[in-house]
Amino acid sequence: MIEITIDDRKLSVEKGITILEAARRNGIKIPNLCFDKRLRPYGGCRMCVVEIEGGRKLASACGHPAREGMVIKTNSPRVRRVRQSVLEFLLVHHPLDCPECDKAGECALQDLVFEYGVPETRFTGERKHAQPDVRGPLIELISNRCILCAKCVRICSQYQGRGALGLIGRGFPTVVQPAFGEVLECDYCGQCIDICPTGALISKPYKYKARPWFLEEKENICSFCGVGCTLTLGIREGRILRSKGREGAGINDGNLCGRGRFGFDYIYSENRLRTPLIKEGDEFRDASWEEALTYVARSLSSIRDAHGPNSIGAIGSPRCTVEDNYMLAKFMRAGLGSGNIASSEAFGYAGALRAFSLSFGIGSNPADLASPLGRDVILVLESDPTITHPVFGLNILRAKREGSRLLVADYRETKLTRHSNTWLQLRPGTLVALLNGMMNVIMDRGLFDRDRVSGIRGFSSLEAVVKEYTPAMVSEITGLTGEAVTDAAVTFANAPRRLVIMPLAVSENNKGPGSALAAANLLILLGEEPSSLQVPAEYCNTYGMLEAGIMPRGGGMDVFDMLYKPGHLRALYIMGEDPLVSMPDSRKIKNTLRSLDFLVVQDIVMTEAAELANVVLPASSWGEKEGHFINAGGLRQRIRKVVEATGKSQPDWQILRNLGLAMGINLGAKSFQDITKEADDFIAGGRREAEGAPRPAFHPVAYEPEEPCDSEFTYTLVTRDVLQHSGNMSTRSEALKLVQAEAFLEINEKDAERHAISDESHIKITSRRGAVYLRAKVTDAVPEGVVSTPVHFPSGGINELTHFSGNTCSRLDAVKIERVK
Amino acid sequence: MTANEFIKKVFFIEILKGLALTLRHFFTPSVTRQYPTEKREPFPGSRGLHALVRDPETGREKCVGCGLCAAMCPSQCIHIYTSEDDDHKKVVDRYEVEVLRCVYCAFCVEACPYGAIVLTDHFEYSGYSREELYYTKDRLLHNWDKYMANSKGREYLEKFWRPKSEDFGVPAAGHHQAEGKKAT
Amino acid sequence: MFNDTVLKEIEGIKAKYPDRRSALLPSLYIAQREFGWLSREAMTCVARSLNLPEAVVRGTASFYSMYKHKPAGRHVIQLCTNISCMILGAGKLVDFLETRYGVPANGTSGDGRFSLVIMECIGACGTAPAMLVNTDFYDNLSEKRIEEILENYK
Repeated sequence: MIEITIDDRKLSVEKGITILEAARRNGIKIPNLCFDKRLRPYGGCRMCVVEIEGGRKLASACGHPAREGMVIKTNSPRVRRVRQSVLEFLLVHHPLDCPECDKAGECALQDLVFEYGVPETRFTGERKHAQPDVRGPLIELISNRCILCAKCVRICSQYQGRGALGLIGRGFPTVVQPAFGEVLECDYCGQCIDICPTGALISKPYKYKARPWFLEEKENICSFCGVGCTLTLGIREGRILRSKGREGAGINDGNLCGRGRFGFDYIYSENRLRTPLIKEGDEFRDASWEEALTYVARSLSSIRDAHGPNSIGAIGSPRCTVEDNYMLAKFMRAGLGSGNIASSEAFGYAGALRAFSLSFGIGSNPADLASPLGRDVILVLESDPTITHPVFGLNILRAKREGSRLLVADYRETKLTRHSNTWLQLRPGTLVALLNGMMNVIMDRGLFDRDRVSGIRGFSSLEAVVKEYTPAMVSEITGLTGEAVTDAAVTFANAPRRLVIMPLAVSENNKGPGSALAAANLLILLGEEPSSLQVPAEYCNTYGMLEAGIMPRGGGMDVFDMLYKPGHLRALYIMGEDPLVSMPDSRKIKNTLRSLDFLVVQDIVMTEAAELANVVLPASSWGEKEGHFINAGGLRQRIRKVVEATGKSQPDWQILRNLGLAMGINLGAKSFQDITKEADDFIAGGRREAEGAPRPAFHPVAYEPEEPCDSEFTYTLVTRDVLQHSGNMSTRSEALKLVQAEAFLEINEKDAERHAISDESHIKITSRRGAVYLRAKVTDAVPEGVVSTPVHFPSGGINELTHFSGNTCSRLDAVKIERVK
Repeated sequence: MTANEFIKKVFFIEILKGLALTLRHFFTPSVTRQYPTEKREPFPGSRGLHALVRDPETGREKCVGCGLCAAMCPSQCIHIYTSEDDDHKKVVDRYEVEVLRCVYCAFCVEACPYGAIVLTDHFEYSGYSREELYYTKDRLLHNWDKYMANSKGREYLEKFWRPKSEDFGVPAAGHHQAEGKKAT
Repeated sequence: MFNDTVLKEIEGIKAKYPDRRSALLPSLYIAQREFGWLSREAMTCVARSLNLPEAVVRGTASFYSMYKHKPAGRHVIQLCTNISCMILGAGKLVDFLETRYGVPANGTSGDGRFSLVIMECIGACGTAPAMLVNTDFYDNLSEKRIEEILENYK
């Protein structure tokens, strides 16, 4: 700690920080245009100049380290005069089109000019007259307004790790643009929009929609991934017009990804359900709530009476609130007496929970978004958290910048592999072999504490299984060199602080609960705690949904029995989920759904599954109802009603309560507060039960190849997420559709050449289960022999190709590819 | 009480004086106007019904939808909705004034950088419903044509409401960006 | 894409620095040597071999005026026209180069043999006029001497 004096205030600050940082931490405002706490000091705007006693020249506070005994004046007449001149120089070039500029009102430059007074115009300079770049889908570049602070360029390359924008040129003609002036193609996170101190980068969906002072700002939790960022929503006339991050708000502290920033408009999808629908013949007709609920109540009652409560199942939703899911579980368990409650997470995070309980003996292992920071080695396993959990991914990139070694094992090139120290490019789905191989090396070389570990249950069987996975054998399976496997093992084992990151998701078929078990084995072998295994839950309320009781208990059926085996169920209640899009092998599911006597779908939009339903109930979406989400870290966050509900839609929990009443079951929830309290108590009870010290045990997993390629089906199909989408809800967003509107198939350049496939051409892709038509995206990001596609798009129908076998390592599919003439 | 005061009291001098004044006014010309049959020209610059200035060059409103008038308005009676047109220019979709809530402070006119809104000298308007006095963009433009026709509007603005944009240079017609004022 | 020799050369440069971004300027010179000038393709190759975003590569390249941002002839003549050289007739030499070899000031001859860059002082005022042909230095220039020198640059 050192002593400095700023504006006559004696302060004691940390050694090594800049004057600006010292002032900020003590609430002293120093104006600036190019500083951001996420970025390295730049010193480009000269607005933060301060007077240091004894110094001849003024110093820029953002780059000048505070030193013992410094006496600093931040607002002396001399400093003010210099700042005024800086503004005057900026305004020589900056256009005065504030009346048209969307930034006016929250523009840093405008605020400073207001504070320091409009400068007299002593200089005449040539203003830029470039046309705005309106070509990109979501971000518009207006270079005339740019003051070259390079914040956008820096946040894009330093912080987001993308580097899509550059400062091209030198001196006055410099422009911020993509490298060669092409259309901006990037992650569309929009961080550059928020960080721009002027209106040089603006959001296209919000362009000219409203002035900031017309907006009512409300905060809400994002409804996409498991990070649970806080969005600051701008609302006018009961409509959300924009979403942005605010420094200091929520766990994201001002960071957002493209989904959170642009994707909220799915709630205005024209597909939204406005009224209950009842199927008559093959057509739906509008119905009143009374009629629909009476019909559902009568049908469910008669099925229960005729076939018993176990003939009825329900599927919960990781998109719905804790209250909604709790109510569904209560309706099923207490109301109908059925334990058949499941969700799509059976393919994803529920598998991770199973792995946690087997290997660590714990019921839950919430992710910690800050966990990557301060680790020596971070091992990311066949996943890209910068896509699945973008704001969590930022912390991985930050850790890497701050000196962590980043090892990424992935079959394809991703942003993380580009930033990694080592990219282990293995064959998809061979992760378990790699992990076993690493353990083999560690055991072989004695890089672990044998005395401590050998007492752990299952050690001898682990030793027996792992013994076979010599680097040579692993090399054969994974396609990595033996040295690469050895190096990775040694690096990982020798690091004092280690971390493994591997989200499990229903949309990814290249890993499974077995992969998580193998990773847990590796960590237990090295004596690590469960917190070293980061498996962030996939969606906004995946964690909360599972905690609220959406999982089969007491002999209830899981989705595998409910959806893949016709005849087990007579009636199914689906809330906020479209199994036909999100779950594998959709043809089987379709058959099962068709075989049901009665299907109720409760959703915000018309889905593929809803088309097959007997009754469709319109639910209020995120933003239209109150509730709570629990993020991947187990943090319970309130979501608020910020706009009116669409049509006659109602919150899910309310529909279920009313349905209960129609069936003569009193679920006991009179108000939202009641149900929140009840759900809370339930979750707290569950957490208390799960408490306890970890009891580690080894559960060795052998590598099992899944659906190997043969002479007919020569390619391996890997399903994955794309950055702009999250599940299939985001595919209803008009803004996100501007970036990615339909499914595509990534194929390696050489493979494409072999089939005479060009970019954008149509291809037919066939698996042993079905065939779909997709557009090709020729790329060198995927290796030869592998094709990759996102499953988000209902129109793509990818899950007609996929399968589910019970293999815990992966669910990969073998496919063949044909060009469509 | 002096003798003088006593005489004044006894003979009602003060009352007679007052009556004389009243009597005199019977024969002087009247100052009361017989409104509405008899109307007076409003004083120049008086603040009456709102109008949106029509740009003679484009035939459209001069307003660019910057919203400063609405931000400034103490009674919050101006509502502006803008959007982007096919040429990526800003267009004003709706410009509405709840005239019944207006307090005629003319802050909106002062705030406007382009002299796009004005309070005309027309003050005679009333209605039987709120809707009648809810002025939309077309009605406000119509007010300009009706009450500020020819050069009257320009004079009115220049004389009483010098637009702020003169201080920093107005965008030339059709130009997207503002030109700077040349140093002299 | 670069051939293996060039890639190895770039790897060697990368090894010298802790940060791969530091290897950018020398790598751009190599790209310029290989492609003749910093074309889009050249910069993309640099970006790929250094694993840097293209925007960073282009941004850096565009900042420095001594890279070739336009296609240049096989040989680049950099002729000084600053005071000393100007007094001793550099202006005439510029005209001479244009009439004799068809290479305009700051342009390239039609046959692609020469490019002429008008330089500020290259520190040879004592023996002015002076020029650089590629990286070779020549001074005490006259029309005749230029003809002799340029014979060696086909």
